[in-house]
Amino acid sequence: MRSLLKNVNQKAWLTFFLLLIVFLLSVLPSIQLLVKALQNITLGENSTLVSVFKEPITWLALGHSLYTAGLGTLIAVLLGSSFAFVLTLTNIRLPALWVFCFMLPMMIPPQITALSWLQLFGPASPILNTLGIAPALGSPQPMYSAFGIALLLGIQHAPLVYLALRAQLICLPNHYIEAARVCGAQSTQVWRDIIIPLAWPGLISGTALAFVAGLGNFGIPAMLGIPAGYVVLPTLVYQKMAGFGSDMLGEVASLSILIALIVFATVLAQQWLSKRASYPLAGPEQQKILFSLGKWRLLTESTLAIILCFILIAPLLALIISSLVPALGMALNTETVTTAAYVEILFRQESTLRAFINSFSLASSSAIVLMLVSLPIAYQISSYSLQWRTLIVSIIEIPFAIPGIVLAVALILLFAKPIPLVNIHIYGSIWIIFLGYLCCFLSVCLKPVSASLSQLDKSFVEAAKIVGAKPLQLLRHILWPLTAPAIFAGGLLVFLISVNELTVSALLWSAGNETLGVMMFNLDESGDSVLASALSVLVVILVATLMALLSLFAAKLPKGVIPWLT
Amino acid sequence: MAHLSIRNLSKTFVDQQVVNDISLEVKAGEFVALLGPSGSGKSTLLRMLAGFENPTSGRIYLADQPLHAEGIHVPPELRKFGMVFQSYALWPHMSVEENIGYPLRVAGIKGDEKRLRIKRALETVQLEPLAKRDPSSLSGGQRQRVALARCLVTEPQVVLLDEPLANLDRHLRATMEEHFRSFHQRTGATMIYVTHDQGEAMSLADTIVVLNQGKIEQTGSAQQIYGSPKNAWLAGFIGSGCVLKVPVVSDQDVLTAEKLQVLLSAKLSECSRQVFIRPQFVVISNDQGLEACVCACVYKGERYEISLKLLNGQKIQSYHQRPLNIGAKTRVFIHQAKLLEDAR
Repeated sequence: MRSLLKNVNQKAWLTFFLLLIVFLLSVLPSIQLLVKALQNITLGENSTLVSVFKEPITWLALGHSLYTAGLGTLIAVLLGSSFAFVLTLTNIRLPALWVFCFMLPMMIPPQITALSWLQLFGPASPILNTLGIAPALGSPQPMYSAFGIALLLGIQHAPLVYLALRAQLICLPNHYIEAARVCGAQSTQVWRDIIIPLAWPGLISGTALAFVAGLGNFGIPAMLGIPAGYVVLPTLVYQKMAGFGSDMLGEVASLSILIALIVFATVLAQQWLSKRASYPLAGPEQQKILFSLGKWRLLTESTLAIILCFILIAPLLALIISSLVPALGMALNTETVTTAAYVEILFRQESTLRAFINSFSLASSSAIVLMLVSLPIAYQISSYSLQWRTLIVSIIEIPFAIPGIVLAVALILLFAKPIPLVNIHIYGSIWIIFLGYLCCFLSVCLKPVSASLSQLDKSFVEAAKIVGAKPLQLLRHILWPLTAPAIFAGGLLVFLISVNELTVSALLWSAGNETLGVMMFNLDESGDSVLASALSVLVVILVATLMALLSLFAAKLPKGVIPWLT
Repeated sequence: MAHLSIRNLSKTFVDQQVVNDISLEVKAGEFVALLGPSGSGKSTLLRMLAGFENPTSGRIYLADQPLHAEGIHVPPELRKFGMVFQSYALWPHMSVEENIGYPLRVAGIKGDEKRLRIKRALETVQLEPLAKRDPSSLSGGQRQRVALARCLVTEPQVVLLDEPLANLDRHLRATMEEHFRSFHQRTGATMIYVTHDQGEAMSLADTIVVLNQGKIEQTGSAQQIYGSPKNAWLAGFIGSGCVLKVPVVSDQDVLTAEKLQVLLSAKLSECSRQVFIRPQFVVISNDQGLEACVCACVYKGERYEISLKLLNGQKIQSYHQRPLNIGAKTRVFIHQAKLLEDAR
């Protein structure tokens, strides 16, 4: 009987733990926003919420947001899924290298992506100037447009689609394909009738991720939209924040409620679509599917190379070049080349070094904490009925979906005063950024874990229960090893996204607690785009090194943990 | 002792009653087969015994201790049962040895005793050389033997088996049946075996419980179930044979062979009761019995299976040593028939 109590306690603790985390990280900030948005709703016509919704600019920004996020998602899905299919399922050479290069755009912070593309195409383009084909000064910048925003959103978020789809594809057992071939299906029919329908849940979740990310992206529309007067919801929020209107916080909260509604609808649509199309797959231990590309291999490889040149190499080159010139707009040649910017960042400015340390410790600690909590949460959620599951997943989704700036506002509202009971003041310290990251990226880490959990054969869990494994033993001995690839993938995603994060930290940083994103943004805003470029080149090198280091450990990690090693 | 008592157990999923008021007593050490077609609720019943499903109503007791009753639900990990799954459920990240040792690991048994017990379990299923292998490198039969060893290692008092042979080929099934039988004899565990295969049920179980649409149709030994099926559905489900209509007879009447020939030659319009006739009690001869016409003749290896039509249009099955031409006229003599429960 005592063991019965102990066991019930374990379950109760797990549930309590889940509810507490969800409440603290997801519900509390959202409530804070809701309260702020509805603070004077009794005023009716004159309330903040109603007046925000009456402003034409709100609807204009909403339309722009839907357009750029939608088009961006389309581009991300096209790019991400073609890379996922080709790199996961065919006999292309050096797949690891391709994946490695393809994952890089996601790690480059959005505002730097935008900067590099501006430099690539503008009159001040260091590449075009070096080549002597730069457009005349004063000619329009093609990137300052809705399409420019959508294109960069697509490139930025294509790896999200890639990762989600790949997780699904490596679970496809080869005998499904063989069975179809035996039935007489040609390759194209196999793709159309077997692979794509079975990969559907991964594609849907990747699409939803990309759309939600595009909707909340701040860096790209801020860099490309604001100069062109093209406003989307996150930049509208930013402008309102900068404007310091009479009821600024209330208006910002109202706008974020609007965004939350769109995200909620997206999540519902995703769950509805994947519920209709989810099949139990066997897990990543089967024989891998490998299509032979035959004579098309070289062509495929060249196509991928051209795409990568366009989306990665050229902007990176522009970035590197603009970090090596004395001032923006100068052509690069043997006379002008200088490493002064790097010397400045690495040896003169204490703040940049500090930003490196801050960002890396913030990113790695949030990744580790989220990896630790995501499995128990995902397991707990999986035992709930569909309605509850949908509700909790949607709640967890909210902080990631609302623009980082809005989350930051919610956190400021929450922590402007010391935490009750313990009387600790975290506003103005690095801990508030850490908390912001935990709120923001819980769903990023949870998604792959939940997906992998839902694909496990139920009898693995039941067999452990029947031989007497308690909930914590079940998690440690059975579920953790079986979902480790997904957990690592989730943690990695969190790290990669948060190390360059700008929007949350933009409002929460304080002197001494700068993040890399803030540092780059500040340098760029103050006109030091050469220093900003140098800093981001260093970030890219560091993250790439880190990815390479992880690859070295791959042999000791469970198969499938590292996305770029298939 | 592991006396298992199931009282008025029901399970309703959203719109469908899967298990409908089932009561069953399983004696300690008994081998019970839950036999039924798919959708009969047998797996749900087993999963409620394991604790994976919560019954909608009813109670389960083990040796007079409640496993499920008002306000009490003992979770599966505390029931100390063993279970063998159709999909084997061998954890892919553990070797054969680790899979078998896992119940000991969670029970806190370590060191020499753990090693010894794993070794004994492996010996019992004759898999000692494969101890270090991964489950994925084993054949289906070997996997199921590992699953059996995993179940054996803690010597549970109750073992649940969920269609354990459904994924194996016929030849392996006979060997595995032997493994289950010796397992049962050695451990004396109470075993509940879910299957849709009557051959398995009859060759293994002391008691067969036949389920249909969430209810128990009949409970009894293999002989009782086969020899005296209660109703037409059971008669059709177990073994082969035919249900034929006969005129009114009372339940007390003894159906002698002479009487049967008379009853079976009656006009259909006068018939209101049913009898069940196994093919082996129908003898084809030229000189006695009812006139019949051969409809089909199928070679079954050891004999021919013959379908015949009686003069009143009813079909009957028989066995014969030689093939008969389709359409040939002959006679059949019926030795035995079982009167089925009145359908009304």
